[in-house]
Amino acid sequence: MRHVHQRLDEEIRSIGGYYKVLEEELLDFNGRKVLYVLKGAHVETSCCGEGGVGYISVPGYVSSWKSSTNEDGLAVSEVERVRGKEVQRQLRGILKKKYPYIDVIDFE
Amino acid sequence: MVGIRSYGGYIPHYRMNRMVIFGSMGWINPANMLNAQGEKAVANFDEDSLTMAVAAAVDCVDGFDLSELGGVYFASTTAPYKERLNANLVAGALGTEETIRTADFAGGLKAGTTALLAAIDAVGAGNANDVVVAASDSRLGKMGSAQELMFGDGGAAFLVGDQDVIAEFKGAYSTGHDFVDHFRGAETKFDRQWEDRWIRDMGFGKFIPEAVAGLCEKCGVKASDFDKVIYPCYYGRARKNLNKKMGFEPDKVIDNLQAIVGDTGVAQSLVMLSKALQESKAGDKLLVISYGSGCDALYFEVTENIKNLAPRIGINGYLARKAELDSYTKYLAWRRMIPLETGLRGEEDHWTRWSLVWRKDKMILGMQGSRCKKCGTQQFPAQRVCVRPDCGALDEMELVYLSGMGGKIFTYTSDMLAASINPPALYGTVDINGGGRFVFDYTDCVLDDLAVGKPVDFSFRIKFYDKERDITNYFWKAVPVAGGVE
Amino acid sequence: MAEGIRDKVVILGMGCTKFGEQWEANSEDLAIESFNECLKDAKIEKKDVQAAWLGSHIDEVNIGKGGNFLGLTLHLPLIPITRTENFCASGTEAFRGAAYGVASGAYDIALALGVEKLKDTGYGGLPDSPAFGQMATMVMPNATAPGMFAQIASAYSAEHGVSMERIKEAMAHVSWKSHQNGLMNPRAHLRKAVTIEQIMGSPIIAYPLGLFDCCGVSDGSAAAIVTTPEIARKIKPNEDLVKVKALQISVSSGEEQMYTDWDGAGMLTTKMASKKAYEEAGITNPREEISMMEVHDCFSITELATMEDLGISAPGKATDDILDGFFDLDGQLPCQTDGGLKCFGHPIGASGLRMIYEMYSQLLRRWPEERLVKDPHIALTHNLGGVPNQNVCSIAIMGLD
Repeated sequence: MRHVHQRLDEEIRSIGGYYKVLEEELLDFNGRKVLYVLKGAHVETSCCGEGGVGYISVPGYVSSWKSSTNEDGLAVSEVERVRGKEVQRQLRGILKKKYPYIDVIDFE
Repeated sequence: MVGIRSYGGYIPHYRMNRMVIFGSMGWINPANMLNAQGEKAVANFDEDSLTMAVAAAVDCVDGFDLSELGGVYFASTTAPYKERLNANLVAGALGTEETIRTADFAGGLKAGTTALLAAIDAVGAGNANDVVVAASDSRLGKMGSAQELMFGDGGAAFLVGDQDVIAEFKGAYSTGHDFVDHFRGAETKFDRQWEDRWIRDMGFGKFIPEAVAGLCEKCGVKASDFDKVIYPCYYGRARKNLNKKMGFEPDKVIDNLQAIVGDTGVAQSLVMLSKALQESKAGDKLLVISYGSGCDALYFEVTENIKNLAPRIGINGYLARKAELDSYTKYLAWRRMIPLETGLRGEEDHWTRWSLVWRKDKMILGMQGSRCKKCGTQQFPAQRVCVRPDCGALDEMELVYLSGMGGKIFTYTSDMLAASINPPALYGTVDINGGGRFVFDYTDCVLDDLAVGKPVDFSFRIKFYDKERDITNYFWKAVPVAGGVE
Repeated sequence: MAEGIRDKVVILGMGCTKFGEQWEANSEDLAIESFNECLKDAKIEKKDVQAAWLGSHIDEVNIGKGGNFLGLTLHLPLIPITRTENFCASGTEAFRGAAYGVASGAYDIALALGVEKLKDTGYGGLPDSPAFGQMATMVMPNATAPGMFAQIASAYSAEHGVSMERIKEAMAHVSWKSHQNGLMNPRAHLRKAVTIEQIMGSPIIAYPLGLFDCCGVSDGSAAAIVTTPEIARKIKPNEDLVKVKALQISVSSGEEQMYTDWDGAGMLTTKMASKKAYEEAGITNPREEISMMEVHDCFSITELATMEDLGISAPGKATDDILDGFFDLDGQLPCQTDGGLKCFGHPIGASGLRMIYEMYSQLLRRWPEERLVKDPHIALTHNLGGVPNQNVCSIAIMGLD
């Protein structure tokens, strides 16, 4: 799986709102490095409501770190998804301890 | 023979470790460290004393025919309405006839057992066949108070009658004392209490022995005759002294659940009685004492019929179903203890149109639908024209209550935008067992608990609260069945 | 036997404002702008308009009820004006009213105008009004449109055995394509290209719909003037004419919401309305005969399911067509050529007319080369209002004479 590293703190906008990538971190887990990304979104003009969310997405285990760049000049890493409900539960627990205020943790 | 025909119980899904509260509020009152042990049961954001009473009552009457029911009594000091009979909402949720006696019991914490005694008296006098008694409380202490730590949420319910009783009523003794240890004025949200040592020594210490002595003398029994003794008192040391003073062997005294639920107010001794019945055998003699503005002491003897009563979920069942509430501020929001920003959208007015509600009363409270007499299709809400496309019969419907049917998840979603005090809002379409489908909120669960085809039960919950007019509206939500097979 | 609307009505002129957050424009300004463009295009004068239909969904903030808004704004000379409200089909309903007015022989020339001004509520999203009556507030979940439409995804996945990952991938393509098309359109609300990665990395709004799967709210107006082929030929003797081929509406019967036969993976109304529309238009093979479409992509999953409901994609195969580029601007059946609801915007009462405006303009080759669909003959527009289990679907088909 390719993971494109978006520019930090830059609005990525849709018609209904925008999100920003706030932090990208590596976590030691199961003897490997797991990449997780902290993001925040504000949905301020979607057709049916207003809201927002702070969330963490977990692209996966890093198999090669920023090994290439794409056509927009953004760094690209190769990652392997974290699969399995039990492993995801463990990881969710670790992240939840670190970010108690984040309720949404996504495994992409 | 008059007595209890069935019992039910309810402890809400969420439990909060008391250290979570202390961790947030201990700074203002460090002595609370001593009260901050164990966990307390917390009603979900869409629960209150009324919904918990309904849950306990639904558990209690499961499998019983309610067509001959004579009454529904509801006891609570935290009922949602001062004027509008709360017991009518419980009766509506149970789908009873409207030609029954309904009553609210309130004012002091002994009101739960008083309701039970009133039911026993009504049946005993031949004025009613069966009476449902449901008691529940969700009392609040101020932020940083001891009560905030000690109080818990829960409820219990009993079906009182004179057929197939599982616990025969043998006698009672009551006292009424204007002893103000805890109180709330008519306009007050939070409990206020007098000095603990006074409550312990002059309250529990005097009135419980008084009630026990009165009952023993009246019924010609000794304290040591009882197999299970139930009385509230959350002062641990005082409990030990009282047991000794009254001659109760410690292993016969039923645990007050302080370490895992908390003080459930009006329901306290009834929650303990419900749990005790779940663990009783024929011949057990039970002594139940309530406390608060006086005492009621009740004496029951368990009969052989207890073997024939189908198992209830009961207190034990609900204790086993639990999830952790790890946020103190969520607790404050759920109990409406702090002002919250819900956005301009949240400030839009949602009127309750009472004449409309009256016409749809049975649909809202009882989840009443209809079944077509021509094609047999069950549907919700009740229709006049059959919804089945190749039937369409007009006015061929019989009315049916569907809340007890359960259902299966047809679709689901987790919605970050829906205005909710507990986002994300979980909802979706449920196929009702036996026919019909409707969109319901899912509650007491997280997204991972939802899957297409998974079974759900329906649970009576707060639908929305109109804070401008202090109106609590209720409807049924779907709760995924724990361990349900997909 | 009713013979339908086919070839009885010609679209004489159209107009459409830029859609977006028009903080400086009133509903009146928007209506005047689309009407003037429309009038000029139709080559007639205001006094020639004999009747009008006004499409608007939300009346509470700006328009009010009834047809008065349009009469008072354009100062139409005491002609009949009817306000149509039928959720997101409101604009197409106005068009249907005007077309039927002409086809019946009651009027020679009629106006359909849709307008919606949503940005005066003080908060994002549509105004909070009881769209399904007070009882819905009492018993239904406090649901949002994305939450209701998101449920199609779980049902679709279960019904067709297509994994949620595959669905999300196809939904990302749906959104990516609209952003590509919207980028080239100066009247679109949002003109911004996004990458598939940015779409996939967006937060979930209502599982499994992400931020880029949802449309927004916009202000805007669109209008059409219709007449008979004979009159059109007189006014525009040497120009291509766009004829109405079919207009159909289908409204939920309650079986989706209350009866258990519906699979939840698509809309019964779209299936019904498109079947009748193809009959009316004389279309037997929609996948081959339709040149281009504007469908109601309020949510990416709606567009995905709609392709099957319209009979364009085979059941369970929409994700294949989408990911193959079948609906891209250079694909076999381009869809959302103006950016769709997701980029052009969604002022509800104007949306149906906006779609017709785009198809009309494409048929008449009015756009720059880069935006043009190759050799179009037959175009379809589709609106879906309400929620999947309780909705209104409108279909319009038009083609070159």
